[in-house]
Amino acid sequence: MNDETILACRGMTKRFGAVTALEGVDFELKRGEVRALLGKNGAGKSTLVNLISGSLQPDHGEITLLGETVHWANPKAAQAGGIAVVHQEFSLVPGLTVAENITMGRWPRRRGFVNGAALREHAARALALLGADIPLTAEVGKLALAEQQIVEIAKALVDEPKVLILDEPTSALNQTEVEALLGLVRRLAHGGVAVIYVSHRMKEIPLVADTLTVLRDGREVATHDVASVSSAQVAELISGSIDVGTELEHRDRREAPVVLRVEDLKVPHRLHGVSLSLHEGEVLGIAGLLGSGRTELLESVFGLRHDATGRIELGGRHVVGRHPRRMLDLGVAYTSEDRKAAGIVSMLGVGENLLLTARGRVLPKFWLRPIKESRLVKDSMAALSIRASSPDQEIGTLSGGNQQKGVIGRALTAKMRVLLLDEPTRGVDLHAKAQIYRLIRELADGGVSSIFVSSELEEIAEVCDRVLILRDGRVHEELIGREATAERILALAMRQEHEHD
Amino acid sequence: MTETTAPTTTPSSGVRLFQRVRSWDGLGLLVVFIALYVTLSIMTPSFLTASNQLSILQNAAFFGIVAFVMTLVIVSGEIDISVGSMAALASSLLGVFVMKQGVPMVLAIVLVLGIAAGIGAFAGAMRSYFNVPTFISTLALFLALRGLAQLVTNNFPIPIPSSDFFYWGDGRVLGIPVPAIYLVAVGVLVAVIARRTVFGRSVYAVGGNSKAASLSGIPVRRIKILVMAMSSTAAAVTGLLLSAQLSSANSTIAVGLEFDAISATIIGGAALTGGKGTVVGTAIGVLFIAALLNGMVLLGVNPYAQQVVRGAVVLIAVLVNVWRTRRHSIG
Repeated sequence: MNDETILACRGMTKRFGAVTALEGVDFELKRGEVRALLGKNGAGKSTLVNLISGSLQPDHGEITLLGETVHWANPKAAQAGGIAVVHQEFSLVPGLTVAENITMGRWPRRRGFVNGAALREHAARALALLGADIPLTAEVGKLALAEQQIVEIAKALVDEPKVLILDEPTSALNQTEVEALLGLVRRLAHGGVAVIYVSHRMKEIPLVADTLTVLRDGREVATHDVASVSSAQVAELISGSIDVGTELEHRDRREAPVVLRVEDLKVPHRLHGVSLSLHEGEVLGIAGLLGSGRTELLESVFGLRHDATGRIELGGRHVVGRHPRRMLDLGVAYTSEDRKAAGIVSMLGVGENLLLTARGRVLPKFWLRPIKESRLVKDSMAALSIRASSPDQEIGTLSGGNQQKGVIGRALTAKMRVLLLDEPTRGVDLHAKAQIYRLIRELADGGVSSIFVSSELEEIAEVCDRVLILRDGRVHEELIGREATAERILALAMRQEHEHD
Repeated sequence: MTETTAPTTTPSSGVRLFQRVRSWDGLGLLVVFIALYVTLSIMTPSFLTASNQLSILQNAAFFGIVAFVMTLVIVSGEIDISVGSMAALASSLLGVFVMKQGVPMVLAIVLVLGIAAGIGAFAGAMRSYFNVPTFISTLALFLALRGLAQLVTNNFPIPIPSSDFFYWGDGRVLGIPVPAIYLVAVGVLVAVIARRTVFGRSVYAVGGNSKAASLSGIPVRRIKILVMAMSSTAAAVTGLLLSAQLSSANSTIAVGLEFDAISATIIGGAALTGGKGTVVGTAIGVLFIAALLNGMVLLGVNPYAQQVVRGAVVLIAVLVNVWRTRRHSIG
């Protein structure tokens, strides 16, 4: 019984235009097995998940579920067939009850009215599978995040799937909540559900998974029993051998004057006293796993977090009362990891987007200066090699890479001296990535300092002059220049602390 | 929006101009507007006379001034439905100040405009600091300001004798009604603000993506407050113009002003989701509504039926906007 193969994928291949997202991947899953699916961003994890769950159709290869070949036309078909996915983003309606959310879309009806008793019974059964104790009539919006995550999983379980896919289910949870959730997943597996567990948090893997599959560049690199490999080996499998043809020259800027000094920065539950110095013309990388406090660090420096405490000095002068406009006036710019929501103004032209910060700073506060503006925009677009038909083209219609160049270019146009870059290459193609790296380095040569936060360790290794490793809200190690290889960064970022306080 | 014109050969400058006009957002609206004018001219000979055109312009002023500023409000992602009540309160306060308190006219006008700006800023501050949607706060003001106007006047008109002010309110300059001059002046002013000032461009950025605007160092709160203050000030100006025309302060004026002003803005292509809209578009929308109302009166259309037509026009305008946006996002 326990060796029965539930799901088998053979030769899964998917191309998007010229890019091969997945090539000839085989994947097999047994009843009651928890399989961790690992890989860098862009390694093909989400493509594989999307193929299995019917969001995408393979170009080649076949999927068999319980011995029968299946072709999902859409996610709904896969769901009916017994494949459930819990995505990273919640799809819950905050104003409805737990029971209503769990059974959404299949509310049992009796003579046109919702059959409340039957509805609660279905929901209770799904929650019981998880062994979770959440009141069915509670409003979802009033639950804690961890409880909402459980409701989300229960929602996936209501059809009693054979395969459950969890996509980074713990990214929003704290340590205790994570442990509880891992317990639930083990319990589900024990009940016979096969689980595919996608996560970046390496230390969860031995706690929850039986086996692991590593993908790299669209290919399956290895599949092992979790017990038979060390985390260092896994890290190496994930990152592969680094082979960068045009390696950027590493520079050492530690002798240069300090432009930004951060002392004892604290954010409740997130950062526990971070101190760092950024030198003129230096690119400082911050590496750490999801939840290590990377984003909070940048947000705190830029004055976006009101719960942050600590001292920030710019050019030796203490900054009192940090908030974004003040920081920009002092020459510090920040780009969010969420380009769409907090980066671009999609319906405005590229030029307008580039000028947002410059106006009122390097440009006058009241009247526009059309000639000066168009010259600034032209220079910036050339320096950034933004590909657009004209400065008037709506930035939302450009590729992700060109959009991102526009967001970074906003700081460039406004002559900022310090850049706080949060995941500046997320969702950007390889060519544009290379351009963004070069841009950051060129700016650094001109004296602009950057703090570069990324979950892609290769790019941190490639772009940064110095790298700080952040774990659980603390800076632990510092790697200088060539010491900072992707393997080393990953191994350090994943290192487990011996239980503290 | 942007028509995809296949550039097969190098276009001459004339062709390029043609393409630019073709790809202009407001082109469809302009065509419909011209069609309306041609139709009305054929159906009633009195429509295209100079005096009738001036009267269209004069009537357009009574909602157009508000519509121009409303464009900024809507582009910033907000709305102001209290403008009609604000106009009535401005009129009523003027009557009370001048006739009952003996305040000099000029001072009274300054006072009224100041109070109006304060009320608008209040709605903007509620939005900025307490996250109260402007739809809700101005809905509350819609009721409260009208009530206040009735309270201070006991709902009776207060006659105000003519004075120099009313020449500027209701007279003519070179044969052109003064309200029409105000309309054009405000239109030009708002267009210049929208296109030529840092504030104006920031309004678009705030409405397009307030989070991105804020991270770019744009004072989002200040801009929303200022825009709302401008809107209620424009409403007060309209209330003063109406008082001048009626020679009295009146708490029952400007009912439905918000409808015409918002309609003109929407017809002009502004998106209620913010970030998009032009003063030129709104100008065409204002003239369209004014001409339509005037034409229907000349044609003797049943007044109740007129309201049905006005409602239908707004609905169609929104549908066209949605359809255009969708085609754009697919193409």
